[in-house]
Amino acid sequence: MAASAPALEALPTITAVRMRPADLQSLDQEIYEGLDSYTRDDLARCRLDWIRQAVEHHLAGSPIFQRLCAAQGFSVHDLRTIEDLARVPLLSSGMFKKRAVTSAAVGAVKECTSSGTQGSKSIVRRDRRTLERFAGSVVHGMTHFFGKAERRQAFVLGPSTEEAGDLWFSYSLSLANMLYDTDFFVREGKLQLAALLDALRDLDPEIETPLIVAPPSLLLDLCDWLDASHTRVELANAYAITAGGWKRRANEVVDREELAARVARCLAIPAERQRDFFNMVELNTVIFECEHHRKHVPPWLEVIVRRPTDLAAARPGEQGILTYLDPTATSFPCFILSDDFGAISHAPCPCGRRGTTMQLDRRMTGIEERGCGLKMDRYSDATGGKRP
Amino acid sequence: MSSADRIELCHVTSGNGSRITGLLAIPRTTAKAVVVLPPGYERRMHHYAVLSSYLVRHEFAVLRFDLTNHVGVSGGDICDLTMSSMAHDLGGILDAIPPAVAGLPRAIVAPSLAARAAVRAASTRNVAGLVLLLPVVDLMATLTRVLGYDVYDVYRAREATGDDKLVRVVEHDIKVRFVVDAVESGWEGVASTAQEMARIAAPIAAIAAEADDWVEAADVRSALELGGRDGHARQLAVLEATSHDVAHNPPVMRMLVEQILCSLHDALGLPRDPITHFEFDEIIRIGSTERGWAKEAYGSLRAGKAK
Repeated sequence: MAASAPALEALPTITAVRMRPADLQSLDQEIYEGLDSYTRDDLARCRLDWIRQAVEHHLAGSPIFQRLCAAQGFSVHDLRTIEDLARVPLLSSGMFKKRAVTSAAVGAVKECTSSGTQGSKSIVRRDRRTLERFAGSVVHGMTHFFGKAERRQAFVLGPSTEEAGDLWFSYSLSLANMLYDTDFFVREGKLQLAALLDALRDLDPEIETPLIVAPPSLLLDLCDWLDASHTRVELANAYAITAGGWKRRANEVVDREELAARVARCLAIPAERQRDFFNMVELNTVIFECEHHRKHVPPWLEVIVRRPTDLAAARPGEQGILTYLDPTATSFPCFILSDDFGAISHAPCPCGRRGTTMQLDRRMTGIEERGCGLKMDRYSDATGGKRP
Repeated sequence: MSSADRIELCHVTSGNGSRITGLLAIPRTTAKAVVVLPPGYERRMHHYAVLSSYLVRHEFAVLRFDLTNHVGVSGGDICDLTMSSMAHDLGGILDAIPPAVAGLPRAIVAPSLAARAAVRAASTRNVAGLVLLLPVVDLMATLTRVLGYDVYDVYRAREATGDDKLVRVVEHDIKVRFVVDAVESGWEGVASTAQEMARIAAPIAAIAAEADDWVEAADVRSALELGGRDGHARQLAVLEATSHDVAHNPPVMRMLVEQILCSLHDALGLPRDPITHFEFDEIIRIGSTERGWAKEAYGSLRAGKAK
């Protein structure tokens, strides 16, 4: 089409400015805009920078982390190579049960709590930036592992935040509402299986991909109920997503393959569309699984496996205690020694995504935990008093 | 829940006779203007709940709506979408502003594809200002980028395929009629956008994104330069390190909101007020409430009933 507007030089000039948010760091760019997070080669160097900046931030803002660093003689200047990251002092996940672990939080702070399966609850304080980046890790993972799509609806076999309060499992899943319509099917402490079945059968034709999200125990309950009522639901386009572990039902654990077979039989969801998410209340990033059931560590997160005997860094493939250096948290030092055993790998994944993959094997036993606790106590006395 | 004093469901007839369903949010204080806020492609009015709440918090009334021939609760199916139907919707809304806010200055804040329709609707109406977000200014170039092949191939093949053949555009099937309308109703190219902009006797502010795969910031600049009009500002802000999908980038969203509010105040000749941002949980709550309303087709919001 021909332009009939006057010639450019005859026009008044426009006012043009370039803008960048002052609080948009390169880490934020990777979380919110990173489209090549699993293909680029240079992200280990970026990760070192991001974690170094996080260490500096928490050294300035977290008295507990300051004392830990002092007790171990650690300085941010010790971080010169990616291997040096193994020197960053860690907080055991148990520390969040005993003490108020905070850093330089800005604005309102949300107290996020664990389920307290093993007795006392962890409390993790998150400020706006920390929550935004956590939500960003969810959107980043959904985009990379499930594709960018709107025509989805989430069916959560868990309580809503109205019912569960600050429980991290519910709160984190409530963020799915930012992306898709999300319904919760545990009400007054009971799994509403009939309501779930009705909702799945009455699915809006606009929805191409339902997402069934559940702790594995409740997904098993759904399969048991469908089997008992001789009912099958055809959800071949759906994803079944497990999250949260077996918790108080550890004595009912069925292995992954058996659960996958049950889900495939009862819901017609093929194994490659059954995925497990990993997160814990003390970790500010969700780790997603690909179609080959490998958990891909996003590029900003460093997972280091440590030998239980001396907490030294283990080799790739060697089982040990999973530890995390997560630079996305600003309101608490997210350098965590977990209660889980697992391994990491840098080998290529058949899905084509690059970077580190993580395997989660089992929780530590009580004896292992106590042994590990003793090792941590070498410097955790430096962390000061109990939670107020 | 938004910070609106009142939120009302309203119905308007589009310029092509279809029924448009919208939400009018009115601030507790006297509103500075009414902002008409159409959705982008494959977006519904609930997707703009947070932006609407920001505008209301800063004393603007906001009229959002679902497009006809589109996703959402307004009439028609998305397969029948055309640029002309979008412009008819915007025209219908601008011509039938609800009485509660009809006396206020009218501004448009329009994203992406809707921005192109907003330029046409505003070119024949009296508006106080336009704020265009990541605006499509070269429709055929954007369509080619979205489709991954030359959109003119679709147009050239129309006699063989018929206008009812469906073409996948992102997540929905749209009839070839969309492309035919684009070519034959004057929606092509930067020049057509500029020509219509030049007819708008009001300030136009555009916000483009540097890393936008669908819209070239340079094209937006060209449209504004060619679409200039003496005495009426043409402003461009280019967001660095930002793609077309800004909704999940909170630092960019905050800056975008600040820029929108500043542009609206400038267009209305008002001093820029301090901007206060929502906390994370407030944003989640606003989004969640509106999704709830949308899911039950706004049944709990009876037309005209104060909320």
